[in-house]
Amino acid sequence: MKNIRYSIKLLFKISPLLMLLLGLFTALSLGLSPLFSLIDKLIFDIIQQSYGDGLEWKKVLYIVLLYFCYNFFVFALFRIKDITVTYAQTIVSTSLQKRTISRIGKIDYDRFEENEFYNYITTVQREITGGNLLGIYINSITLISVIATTAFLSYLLFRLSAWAVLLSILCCVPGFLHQASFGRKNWEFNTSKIPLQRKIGYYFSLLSSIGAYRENRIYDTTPVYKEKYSGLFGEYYKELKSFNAKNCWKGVMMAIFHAVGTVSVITYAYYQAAQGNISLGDAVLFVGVCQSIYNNVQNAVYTFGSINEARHSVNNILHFLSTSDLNEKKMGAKNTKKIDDEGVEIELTDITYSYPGVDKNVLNGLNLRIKNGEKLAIVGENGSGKTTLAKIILGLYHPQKGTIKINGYDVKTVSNDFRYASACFQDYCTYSLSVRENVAFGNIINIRDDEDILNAIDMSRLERTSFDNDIDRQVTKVFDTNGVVLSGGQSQKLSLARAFMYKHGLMVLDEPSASLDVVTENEIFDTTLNLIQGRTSVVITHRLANVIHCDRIVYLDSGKICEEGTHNELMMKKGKYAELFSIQAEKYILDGNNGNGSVNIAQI
Amino acid sequence: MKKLSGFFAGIGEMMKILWQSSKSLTLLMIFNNLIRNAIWPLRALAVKNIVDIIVLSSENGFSAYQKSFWIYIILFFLCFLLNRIWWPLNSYTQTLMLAQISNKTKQRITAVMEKVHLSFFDYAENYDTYKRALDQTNDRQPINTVNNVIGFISLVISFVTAFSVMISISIPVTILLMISSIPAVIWEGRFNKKVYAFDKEATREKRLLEYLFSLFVDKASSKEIRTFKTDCYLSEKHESTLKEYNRKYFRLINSKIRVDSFFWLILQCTLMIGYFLIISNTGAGKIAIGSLSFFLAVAGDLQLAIKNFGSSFNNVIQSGKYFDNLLQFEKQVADDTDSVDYLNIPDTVETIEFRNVSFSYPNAENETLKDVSFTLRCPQSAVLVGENGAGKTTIMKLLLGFYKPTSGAVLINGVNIQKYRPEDYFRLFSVCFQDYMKYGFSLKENVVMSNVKIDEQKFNEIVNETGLKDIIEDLPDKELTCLSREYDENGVELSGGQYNRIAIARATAKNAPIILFDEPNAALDAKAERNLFRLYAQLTKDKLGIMITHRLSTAVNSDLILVLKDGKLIECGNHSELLINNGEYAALFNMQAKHYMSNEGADLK
Repeated sequence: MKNIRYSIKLLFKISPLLMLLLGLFTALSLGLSPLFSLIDKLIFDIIQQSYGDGLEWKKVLYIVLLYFCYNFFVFALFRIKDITVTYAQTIVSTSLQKRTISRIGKIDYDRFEENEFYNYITTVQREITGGNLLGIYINSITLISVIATTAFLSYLLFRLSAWAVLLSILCCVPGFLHQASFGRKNWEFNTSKIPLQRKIGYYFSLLSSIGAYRENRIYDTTPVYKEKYSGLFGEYYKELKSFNAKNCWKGVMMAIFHAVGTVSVITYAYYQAAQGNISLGDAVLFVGVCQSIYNNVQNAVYTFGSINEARHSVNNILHFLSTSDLNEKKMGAKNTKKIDDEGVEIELTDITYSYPGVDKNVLNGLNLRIKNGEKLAIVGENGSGKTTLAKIILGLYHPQKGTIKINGYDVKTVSNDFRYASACFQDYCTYSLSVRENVAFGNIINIRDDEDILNAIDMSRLERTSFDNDIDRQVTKVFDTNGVVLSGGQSQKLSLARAFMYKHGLMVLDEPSASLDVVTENEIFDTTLNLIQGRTSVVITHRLANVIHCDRIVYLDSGKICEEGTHNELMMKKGKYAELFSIQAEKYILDGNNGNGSVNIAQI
Repeated sequence: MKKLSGFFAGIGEMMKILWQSSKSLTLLMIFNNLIRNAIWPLRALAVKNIVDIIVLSSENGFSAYQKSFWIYIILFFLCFLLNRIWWPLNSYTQTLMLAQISNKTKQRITAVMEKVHLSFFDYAENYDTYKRALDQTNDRQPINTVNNVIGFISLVISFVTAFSVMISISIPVTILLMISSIPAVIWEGRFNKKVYAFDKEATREKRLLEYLFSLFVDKASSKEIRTFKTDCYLSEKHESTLKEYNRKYFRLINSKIRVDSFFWLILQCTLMIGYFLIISNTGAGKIAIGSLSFFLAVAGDLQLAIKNFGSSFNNVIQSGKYFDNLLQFEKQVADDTDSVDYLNIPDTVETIEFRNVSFSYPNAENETLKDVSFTLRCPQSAVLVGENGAGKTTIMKLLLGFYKPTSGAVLINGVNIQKYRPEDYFRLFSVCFQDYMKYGFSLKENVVMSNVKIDEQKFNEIVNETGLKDIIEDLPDKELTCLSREYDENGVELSGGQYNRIAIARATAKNAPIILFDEPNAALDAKAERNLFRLYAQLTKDKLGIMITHRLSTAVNSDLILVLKDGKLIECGNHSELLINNGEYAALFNMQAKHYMSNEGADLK
């Protein structure tokens, strides 16, 4: 009940007028059905009286007009109702999507690391497209009007026979009860089978995706997956079948029960008419009303069932839109002072961070100060917390302990809209949109500035030929079969171009050269980093040769800074950095020592 | 005519898929549709006769008609009952049938995937066919499709029943009703084409909407949205796309309503003329009252049924096309494969040879490889170097037989690889791809899946060699921890570098005669990278190996270095030879080495 109340409240918030109209039309369209039986009774009474004597044409015209009016009202009402429903559906889904998007935008990025949260959000997304929210409202109105109509019909029937009313109503009780519990059970069954279905889906994706194709061949795993897939499907199907068969069987029993009850009442009416106890018109009315009650009850039963099922399927969307427990950034006291983003200075004090649901700290009381205009490199082994640190600097993660200050202001007091950084992430995005959008997302205000966009592209060394010199070409073939498909290296350059779009503030580059070749990597580091000279920048890389010229190198180990200084200082120290560096240098230096490459070294 | 034959072919295919999916369910579905759509005229007929009996017995007494009265009551009851049990039966059949059809189509797609050649997907239209066939495995559409077809057949049956009774009541009125429906039928057919055209266009917009929405939900993109503050732009784009979609949709709906209302009026007017004639005639005693009741119950429905004929027929034609994607997908692959007498794969691999190999991707203008020739002899290991897009990965794909050379040949032990039996051919290779798979299985399964014969001891050896030990120790369930949280709550997601090591371990476990590594070190730190190269050297001690890498330090100890540029093999030799040669390789090597060199004297000596 709570969900139904919330849904209706939410819908009325979205568009009260539309909801009122929708309710009105739904109720009216259902209230029309009994009238039909009354017209039928009228005509049969008239015909039976004057059968064979001929009818006055005026009288016939009068009846025909009645029919026409009735049909017209039914037609018009249903049409108007349909339009209203379609319109309302569009409005509601548009508004829900808008609300959801703006809500998601305010959620702290940390929560995306929680697997549960991700599932939650995708469920919300599914529920919006499911359209059940409006369904609940329409069905509730339908249920109420159906009950009202049934009451009126029962009254008509009551005049003919009291026990007929009783029988008509009684014989539908079991069906009603069955349907009421079925809605919930069906929902429960489907929910409990989601993990199994996901697993089946996963095996099918291994069998059918192009990504898995090559390894399936190499490792000959297809037969294993096939067996797993059909085993799991068999298991699922067996349960699906037994669950549905039971319900179907019950449903059929209820149907027989219901039909026997209703048909006995109808038979009674016909029998009375045949005996001459009631007029044909009365019998026709009686039968018509009986059938209407029957249809109405059936309608009510299924409406009730679908409300019962639907109210479970809006749980998440309602929760999402109404809860205040989403770690949103509090919009309270804001620093209204405009922070100068030309120079960025960052100070991290005693930062401790762990991922949601994980006990181990990724960062352990880390202190770091990045001066304005400084080029800082963060190095360390896999899993030492480099990327996490970068995300904290960017304000994406919110540490459990410690403070982050930007130009002296605590990040918590800085407005969400204030932008001080640009970045190229390790898991960068390649959007299935135009090249223009892909690049301009780095600085969206300049989306119409072709020169600026091309300039950023050139900085990233992405060849203009890769998109035929047309920045409005679509990337990927998802939405345009003429779209350009970029290679891994080209996509990485595209994401670099995005980062270069923003001309001031902090620049964070997280493994920007992982899939670049030697030449491009060199160009990016040697040339391009010079272009952003004077800007505060943070570089994360495994390729230590690239960071030699950075102003300061920070070596991260188990979430702490264990060494820092310039390249030369760290090499003198002969600590962890020097060790890592010499491992990489080993081959090159060995070669230099044994004389083979001496000619070339001299050339450098 | 062409439309009609295509129609029957489509229906035939669909019924075949249904029948193969489940025979009993198919029969049940037909039954359901019949009781849903074909029974209403029968019920009206029963009522007609009952009414006639009532009228007659008011004149002649009931007793003479008692027997036929009860017969018609029973008929009425049966019709009533069947109509009522339709719902539970239908929901049962549809739920199960949907699962079965989806399963069947998935099996068929899997069967195709087993046969298909990787190059197949390089053609945009093939890829689209594949994608569409795949999309269709998960929607409800097949059930609607099937219902359209069976529903159409039931419609015809019910139409014939109703029509024959109507004709016996009044020929001119029946004809009048039929003729008045014809313009509506024609229009309905035309309009449906519009709807399909709209649907096709709208699908793209709908997908774009879903995509834009998913950007907000996706982990990687929501990070960029927050950093670059693109949320306003994206939500505005989402909104304007949605508005555009809605606008088009309402325009379509509006035009439908206008024309629909017009035809409704025509139909109603003729129906009312029919009512007028029949009621007057009944009043005059020319038509029985029972027939009047039949007419009142059926005439309107019959008229609608005729009107809907056009759209139902169109629905059926469209439905017939539903499985076209799957069929096309199967057909294209069938054309693609041919049977030859294959050779057995060799036990040991002595040589790998590329002989004048040229290759261009389908539809691509430029050649990716131009006249590449080289020979590798066991136990040599080679390193492929070159810029992005020079054709390194393509060489690997050709060697694996995923693609066939446009000209020239790839040979193993002097035999063209196309002559080896394809099912067995891959046994020759241990491969670590650049975009390796991350399987949602346990860590151990992730490793040993490549070779089920591996025992505990061997597994431990591999774990030690590939540096998985540290990773395993940190995992809650050690090597049995599931590496995905998708369907295991206790699963753990590893970092890129960690997964990388697992992919290498997987390749190691297979222990095949040829080892192929494609940029295995992209996400590894310096220490792990060093370990990897030691491992590679050890693995290729008595085997053939090819590695693609951008780290030229790897190449130093390699037996053979192949330098590719713009698809051409420009240099070939070992490290010292190539440095003396002072060409492309030397330039690349020095470019990387200079950073380390410049510090050599100062810091290490």
